[in-house]
Amino acid sequence: MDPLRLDGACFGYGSHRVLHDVSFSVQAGEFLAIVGPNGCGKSTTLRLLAGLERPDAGRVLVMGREAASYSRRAFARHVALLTQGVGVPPALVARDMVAMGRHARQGFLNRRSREDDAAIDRALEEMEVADLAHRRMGELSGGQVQRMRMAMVLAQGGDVLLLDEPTTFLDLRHQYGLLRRARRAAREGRAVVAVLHDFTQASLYADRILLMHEGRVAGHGTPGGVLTETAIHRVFGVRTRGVQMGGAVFHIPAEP
Amino acid sequence: MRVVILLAFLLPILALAQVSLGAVHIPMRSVIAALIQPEGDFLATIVRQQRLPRVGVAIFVGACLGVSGLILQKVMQNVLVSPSTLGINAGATLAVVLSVFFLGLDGRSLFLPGLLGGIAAMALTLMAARLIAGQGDRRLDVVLAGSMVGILCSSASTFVMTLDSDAFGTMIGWLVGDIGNFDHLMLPMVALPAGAALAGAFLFSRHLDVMVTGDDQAALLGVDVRRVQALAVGIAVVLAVSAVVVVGPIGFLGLVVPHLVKLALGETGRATLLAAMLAGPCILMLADIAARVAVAPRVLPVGIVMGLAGGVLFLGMVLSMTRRGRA
Repeated sequence: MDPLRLDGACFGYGSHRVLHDVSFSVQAGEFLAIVGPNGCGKSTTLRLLAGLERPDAGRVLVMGREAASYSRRAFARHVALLTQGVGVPPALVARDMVAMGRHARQGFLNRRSREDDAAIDRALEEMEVADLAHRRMGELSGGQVQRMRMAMVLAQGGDVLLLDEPTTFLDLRHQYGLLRRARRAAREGRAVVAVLHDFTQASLYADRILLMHEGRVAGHGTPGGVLTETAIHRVFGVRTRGVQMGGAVFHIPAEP
Repeated sequence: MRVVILLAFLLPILALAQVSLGAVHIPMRSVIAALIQPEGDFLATIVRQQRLPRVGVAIFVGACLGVSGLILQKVMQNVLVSPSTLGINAGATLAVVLSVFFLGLDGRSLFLPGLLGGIAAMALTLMAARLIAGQGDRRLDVVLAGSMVGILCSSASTFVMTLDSDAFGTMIGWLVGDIGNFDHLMLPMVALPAGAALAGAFLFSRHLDVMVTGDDQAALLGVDVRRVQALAVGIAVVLAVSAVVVVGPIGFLGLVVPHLVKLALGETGRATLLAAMLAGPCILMLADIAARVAVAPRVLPVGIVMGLAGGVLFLGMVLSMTRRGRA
């Protein structure tokens, strides 16, 4: 049973159709990167997988069950999503926000358990933000906020980790650190899906690539097999020269 | 927690000041004597019959409006919402005025009509906010809708009262929020729903806290957003209406208190609810002292002082928010 499966999913906002018959699945232990031009439906696909939207047609299956059949609490124990950078309340204490990752694992009246505290501390350490945990979110830089939000998602745990442009605001060191952590989550047995814009990072960290174009799947497979010069020209409308090195695919403009 | 302890110390000090200061200044030793001795002189009578009930009602109303505002701001992720800026206070007031005028109800049976009025006003505000929603800041849309509902309800209340001012007697002062002139028998009537609502707020505090991250994020963290929103708004309306039926609509207390609590303690934790429960009474007592000292020997309704002070703060907050939005 695949932790995540999208079966012929169609979705639109009002009369504007965003996704057309999108199908793919992600296995446990696999890291899938979704790439494609702006507005091609990448984030909407993640919103469907995270149960924030329901498909107009087709199915979203999480751990073999329709996503809509879960309660929000049960769903949050399986699926965690790092959304694109949204505003966080400036007066919110950073550690309190990370602790919210454990909300779905606590009983109605229960306080945080030792296990919860350990998960929170571990996530703060992994994102290298433990020393900022007592600060308010409004005092942190964009990159620090993003790492704190990733710590919240890591503290949440679960079988599926969804990341929407997770490297936004991060410097190079923390971009690699976050992607390494995401890949380790996959190696630990989670199904990981990340929307990425950087082909090199996508090819270096992901096992498979899903290339999207105008709400449809335009390619699905290994990085080397999907991120070809022809596919990139067809989808992005730019001519590039592709080079493969050390498992990574590099593309440079053919006409700078 | 230090803030909560500080407020817990401040509350009795302000309570003593509220008893002592006023049109008739009562020395502290007379206040203490009146509290200890069962019989007393003229000053002791003032303390026991006028000043102490004023303190009691300030604590009750301040706690209700402070917590109501804090819950609304958490669950709607909007620092401009409060029972007054959403029109809840004015809706409850109109329902009370209509019940007195057309049904002849007295103070002890006004909670239910007030609650219906508060709920109707809140629903109307949310509907109007959707209708006027533009491209700008949605938080301002809600407050604009709430202000429209509030003005409509307040004007209607004033209109009904002018139809037969004799029928309303001392309720004219109640219309602007007055803690010096209330029916003592109303407190037990509203204590039960207000107590239940406060207990509910503490029980659900963790769910309310997660809501501050936004509707989508809260859902992703496992919150049933619709259910928690409905519950939280219900609790906030019960608390606001409990205050309104006793003392009338006191504006801006529910706006100011959450703002101060967040500055001191941040967004989350049961301590924020406790702090709001204590800060509300403290601010209301300060406003009441100002209302009785500013134009002594005359006494202003405390709602006027809160309206003036809160209105200025509200304007500052809107200006700061729109400037940040443009930046």
